[in-house]
Amino acid sequence: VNSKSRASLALYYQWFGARAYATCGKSGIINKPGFTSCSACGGTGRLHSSEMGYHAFCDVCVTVGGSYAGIKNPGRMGGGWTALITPDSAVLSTGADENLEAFKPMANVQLHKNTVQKSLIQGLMTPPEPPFMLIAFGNSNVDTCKQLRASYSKDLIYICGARIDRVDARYVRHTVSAIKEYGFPKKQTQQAVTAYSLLARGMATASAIEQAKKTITDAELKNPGIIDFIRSMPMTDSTEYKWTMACAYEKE
Amino acid sequence: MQKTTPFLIEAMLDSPVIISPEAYLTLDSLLSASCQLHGENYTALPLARTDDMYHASAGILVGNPISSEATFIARMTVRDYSDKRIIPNKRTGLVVSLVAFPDKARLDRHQAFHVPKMIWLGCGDPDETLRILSRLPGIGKRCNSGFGQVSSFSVLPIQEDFSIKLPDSTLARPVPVSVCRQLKIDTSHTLLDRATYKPDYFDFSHADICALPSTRQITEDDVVFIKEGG
Repeated sequence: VNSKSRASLALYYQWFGARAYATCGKSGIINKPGFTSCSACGGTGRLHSSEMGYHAFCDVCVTVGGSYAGIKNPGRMGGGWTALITPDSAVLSTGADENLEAFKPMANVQLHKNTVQKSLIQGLMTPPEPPFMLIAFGNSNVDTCKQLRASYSKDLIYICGARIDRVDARYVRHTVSAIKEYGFPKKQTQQAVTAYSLLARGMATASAIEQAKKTITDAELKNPGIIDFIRSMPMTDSTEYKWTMACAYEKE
Repeated sequence: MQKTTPFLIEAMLDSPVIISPEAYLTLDSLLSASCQLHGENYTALPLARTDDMYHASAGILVGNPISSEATFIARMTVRDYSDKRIIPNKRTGLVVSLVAFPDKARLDRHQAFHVPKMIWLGCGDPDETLRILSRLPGIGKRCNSGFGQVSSFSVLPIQEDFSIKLPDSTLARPVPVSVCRQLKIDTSHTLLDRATYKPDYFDFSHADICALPSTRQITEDDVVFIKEGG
């Protein structure tokens, strides 16, 4: 764990460290013989492990790697769970109400039933006052300790957890409002931006370039103004593009 | 007295260079790495300073880079042999999975950029900067695995100091907000983040809220423009 992750780890630990584990589940057998380091991050110190467990986890990794009483199979925070943490509050979201129940005893933690996509979109579009941390837990949270990133501005937001997305949120919010203003359909926006990205990179055969130009011309005929708009869109292989499309065409 | 000549450094690349989105590969970080490799004092680099920030730009890719993914799988180390799960000839031994918890940590992915050239802008002693820089075994992450190999570095004195602000007025490197105020740099259009801005860049305890550079690549024409005096 490098010094950058350590700063974020402190924020995470405040809400979802050993305290969450102790509040919601079993505290685990401390320092089970045979285990000297955390199975996830390799850290030493206090370790938690279940009686039959093949792994031992440190105070932080146990919150995603260990089992909570009250959470259905697989018994831990994983895919489908998100958290938005600030120094003063924490919002924990997942799709199943009964799983959230396990965290009810924790003071100042707001529990919301929500999908991962919707929670992250809310975090990007209406972020809290910085610093904050937006976490999307994955099925395998092996790198959680190393992959926590706090955001220190509303315009540059890190979505961390199973992977790290560094998102220029200001750019995303700007393009999302433009898409909503013009009302371009999703399919045509996707096709036009893909074609424009291909032309901008210039790495294609002559026939592919011709096809891309035709796609853009057709899109302009159906949606006047789309050419000017796609010039300001992020390229298709960027995280900004991924989140612009997700936020602009979010299903109600 | 220390020289304060504005200059441009060009590096001709032999192999793709790995730069993560959160790293800027600033000129002072390279000089500091070179000095540390040779056991020299790395706290007094031959570059001008404002407060404790060097006049040294981030690395800028020249041209339209092709990006690819550079993947690595770590080998086992001595530490792994003491892992209880790796016990040969036992029924419960050797439970190592590369797709799941916790062995997936061994997989390492980076984004590599294929470009013929990179540039840096600086202000200070150009000859000494070139001398220190030329001793580096490579630039960027994983240069010991063949990435970021440089065939030659060259330096060219220029008219104006673009090491902090590029000719298009965008930032050339991460600049602490306090220094932005001092240099009267407008930060309303730049992204802010907590970042390191001086060596050692990997030590996040030095981090401060900085305005970040947005220009990661420029065209060859822009390089000519800078060489001809901005």
